[in-house]
Amino acid sequence: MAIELIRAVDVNWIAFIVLFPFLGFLFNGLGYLVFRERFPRWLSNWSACLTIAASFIFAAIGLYVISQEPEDVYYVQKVFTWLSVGDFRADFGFIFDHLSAIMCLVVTLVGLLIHIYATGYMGHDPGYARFFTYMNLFMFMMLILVLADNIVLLFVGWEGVGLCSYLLIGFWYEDWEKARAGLKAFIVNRIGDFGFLLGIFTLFLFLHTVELVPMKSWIAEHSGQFGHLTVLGVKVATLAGIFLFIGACGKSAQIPLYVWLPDAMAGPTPVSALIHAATMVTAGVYMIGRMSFVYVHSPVALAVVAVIGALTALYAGTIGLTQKDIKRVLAYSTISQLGYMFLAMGTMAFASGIFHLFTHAFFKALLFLGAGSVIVAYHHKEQDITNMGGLSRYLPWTHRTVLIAFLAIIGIPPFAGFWSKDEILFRAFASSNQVLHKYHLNLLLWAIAVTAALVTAIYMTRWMILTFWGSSRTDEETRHHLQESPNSMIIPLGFLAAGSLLAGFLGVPAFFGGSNWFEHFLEPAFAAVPPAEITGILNEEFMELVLVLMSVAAAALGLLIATAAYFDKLFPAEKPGLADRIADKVKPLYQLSYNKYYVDEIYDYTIVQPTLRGSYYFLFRFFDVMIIDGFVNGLAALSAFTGRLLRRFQNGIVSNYLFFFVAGVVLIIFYMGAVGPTGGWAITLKALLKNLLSQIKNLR
Amino acid sequence: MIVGPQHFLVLSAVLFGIGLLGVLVRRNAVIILMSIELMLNSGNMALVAFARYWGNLTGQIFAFLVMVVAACEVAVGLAIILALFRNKDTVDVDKINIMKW
Amino acid sequence: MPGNIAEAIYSLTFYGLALIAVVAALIVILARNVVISAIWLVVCFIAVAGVYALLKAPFLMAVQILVYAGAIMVLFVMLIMLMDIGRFEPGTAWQTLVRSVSAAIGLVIMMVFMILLSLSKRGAWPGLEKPEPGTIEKIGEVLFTKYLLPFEVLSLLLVAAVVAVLYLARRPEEKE
Repeated sequence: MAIELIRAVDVNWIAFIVLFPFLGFLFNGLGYLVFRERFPRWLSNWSACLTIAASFIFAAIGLYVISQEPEDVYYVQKVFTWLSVGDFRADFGFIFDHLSAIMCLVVTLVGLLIHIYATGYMGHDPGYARFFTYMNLFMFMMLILVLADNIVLLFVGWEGVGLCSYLLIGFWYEDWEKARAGLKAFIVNRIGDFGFLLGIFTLFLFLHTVELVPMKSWIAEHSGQFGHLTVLGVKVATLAGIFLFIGACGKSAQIPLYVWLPDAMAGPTPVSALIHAATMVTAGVYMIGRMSFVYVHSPVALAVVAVIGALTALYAGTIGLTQKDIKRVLAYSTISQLGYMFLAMGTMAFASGIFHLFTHAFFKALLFLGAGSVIVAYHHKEQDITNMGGLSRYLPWTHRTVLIAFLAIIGIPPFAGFWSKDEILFRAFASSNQVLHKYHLNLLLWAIAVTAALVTAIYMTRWMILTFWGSSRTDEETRHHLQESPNSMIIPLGFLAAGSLLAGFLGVPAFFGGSNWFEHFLEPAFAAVPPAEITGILNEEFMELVLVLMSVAAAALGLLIATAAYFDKLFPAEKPGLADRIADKVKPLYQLSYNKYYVDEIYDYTIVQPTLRGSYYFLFRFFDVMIIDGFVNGLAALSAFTGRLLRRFQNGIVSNYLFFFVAGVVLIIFYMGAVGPTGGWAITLKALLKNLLSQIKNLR
Repeated sequence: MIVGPQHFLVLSAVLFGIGLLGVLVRRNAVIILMSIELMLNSGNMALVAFARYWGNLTGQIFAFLVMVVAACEVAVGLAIILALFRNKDTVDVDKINIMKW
Repeated sequence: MPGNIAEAIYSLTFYGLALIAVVAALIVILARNVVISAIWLVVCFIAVAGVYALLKAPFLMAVQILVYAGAIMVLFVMLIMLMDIGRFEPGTAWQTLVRSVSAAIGLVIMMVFMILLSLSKRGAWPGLEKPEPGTIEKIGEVLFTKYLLPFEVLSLLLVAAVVAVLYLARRPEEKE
């Protein structure tokens, strides 16, 4: 029985990573409250970006430092005691282990680049100070989430990013639709959070702690016992795992709680890039990685995660095929890629999931920021890609960087997306999850994932064709004003492009001769997992080669299909292109995809309207007005009634008062006689009466 | 039979009861005051009886103090009734109903 | 026999005085005329004074006659003469009902007290053999040593009563 020798080292610098964005939040927030429009724009910009830069420096140094330590060492820091009641202890404390280090790096680096971009994007917006206040607050909350040393503090960060998401999506709140999108995001998130809370409760109930390290060591020591711990026939691990995953579905937009993400595109593009691509939505994936020591005891929960992940990946892709808004396509793409990450986590390939999170942050942020560049070029007036085209000529640098992201997301080697996606596909096929094996689901999931890769390639190529390539469908007037974005926006795009190109090399698996640094680096953070193996049709090496070729083939095939379908957009011709003809032929399918499978409408009809109506008529009209108000008013009426009744006794007539005097005294005397400590003479009286009665009887 | 303490006590009880009846039944304020005096007297008698039979003077002293208090009380009570009579022109307690809501 | 005769006289005196006291009390509460009530109250007080004599409390007997029968009743009669109390109107039915109920309760209480007090222990009382006579010397001795504090406080009470009476009974101011 080998217990991992994990050693915690107490340090005092972790808090700085979290502190700087908080200071930025305070500074910008107070500046805005006090000075309003007079708060200098440059001050807001620089303060927001510098704080994140400082965080990034600390995170980078931290990563370097921890990589030099032996494998089993991690850093902790308790800032202050927050909640401590009996068994329950949740402190404001941080853990900086390998997983936190990677996450912090992603969050701060991508965050920094996006903040710099936002200084350009929000250049003409009057609410810039408010914007950066919220952005810094978001960074603060996200960093709390990834650094928390107990699940309650993690939940605080979880909720905090949800709040910031609401604030930032509805940033232009004067537009009711945009505000509504923010509301929708928050409410759907809340539903997931309910599941998350149930997960926390389950864990606390059976493990008597919410702190991650004690949980992990207890489970490690009593792994047999925990593995068999059940309630009502269901394993505790499964229960907790599924509850927590419900929270992840809400936060990371998986089926069935993904509906908020496409609407969230109403927020400014930097928000979409940061929150809804690189960081917040990945919180669910991070959470599963963090809690891997619970999930490994429940292959069932992991199977659920994997299945939902795979299905979401394919499902979202099919919707993305027909969307026209430049950001919406990317939104569905995000949902789809998140599905990949969950597929990885579910097949016990925890490091692969985080690896995809890592690479995805770069290329998805880049795609979004590129879209933002396009939007700025159109002065925020046009976002429909069917009215764009040929932008590679007008926005050359945007196009070059976005091209790299495009190649990455499709999965063309040697760009980053290829390495991470291929890893996931391989792990899905060769999963060590016993439940999946039992039902041969791993093959099915792999097939779904490959199909999703194909669909991804198709819709992303479509997106590129319609937006950047071919001839322009924009009118003369607007075309004249199209120009490249300022440097503040282009330079971050450049860095992200570098990331999309190079980040993948951190995780080159052994098959290709690489050392797979990423996976080894993260190994100590996750629970031990039996190694992946291919149930052999042919020998292992050969199968690996086949799988790799198939994933590349899917990408290439998708590219070709899309090019063929949208050929007419590249080189204009008389008759309508293949895509339009297909759309006509299978109109019902097209409608289904274009209208997002009518899920929003279904939810509205089955859940939202009944809730609103039930609330209004039952809870409000009946319960609140009649019962609660009735009760309170009734109390008042009762008081008045009693008062009126009792008032009659005080009629001022002295003899009446005397009567009550005497009556009172008599009662007291009788009480004293019968019951009180002086009692006894009532008993004597009774005895006397009995005596008398018996005497009378005797006389007869 | 030999007169013992209980005789005196029963006498005191009877006088007390009569005084009580007077307080409850009569309408004239002066008579009520007199009945109260009767009750006080009966109490005094009981005290003195006990003093005799316990063999010390505590009861008698107590009775003496009660007498002083009763005198004060009569004086003040009659003053009140006088003031009331001057205002309301009657001493019928049923008619005096100003102490109400 | 002297013991018996003494006891017999003692008992007789007691019963006689008791009878007078009770009858006088009854007349006090039943008479229509206030003055009659006052006079019979004086009789009652004197009877009670007699009882005090039987109880070996000569000082108290004197004080009873001086204070109660002398001062208090004089005060009563003076006030009765000061106030011209006429006939009362008959009371309402409700009041009569309440009064009857009160009377009944009062009677019950009286019966209870009587019965209970008659149950006090007979025979072995400490003071039976050596009674402490309440002579002036003895009373004075106890009053100024053991019970000095209540005695002094009483003087305060008297002052308060005097002030109260002076204020309450003053002539109403002339209104212009």
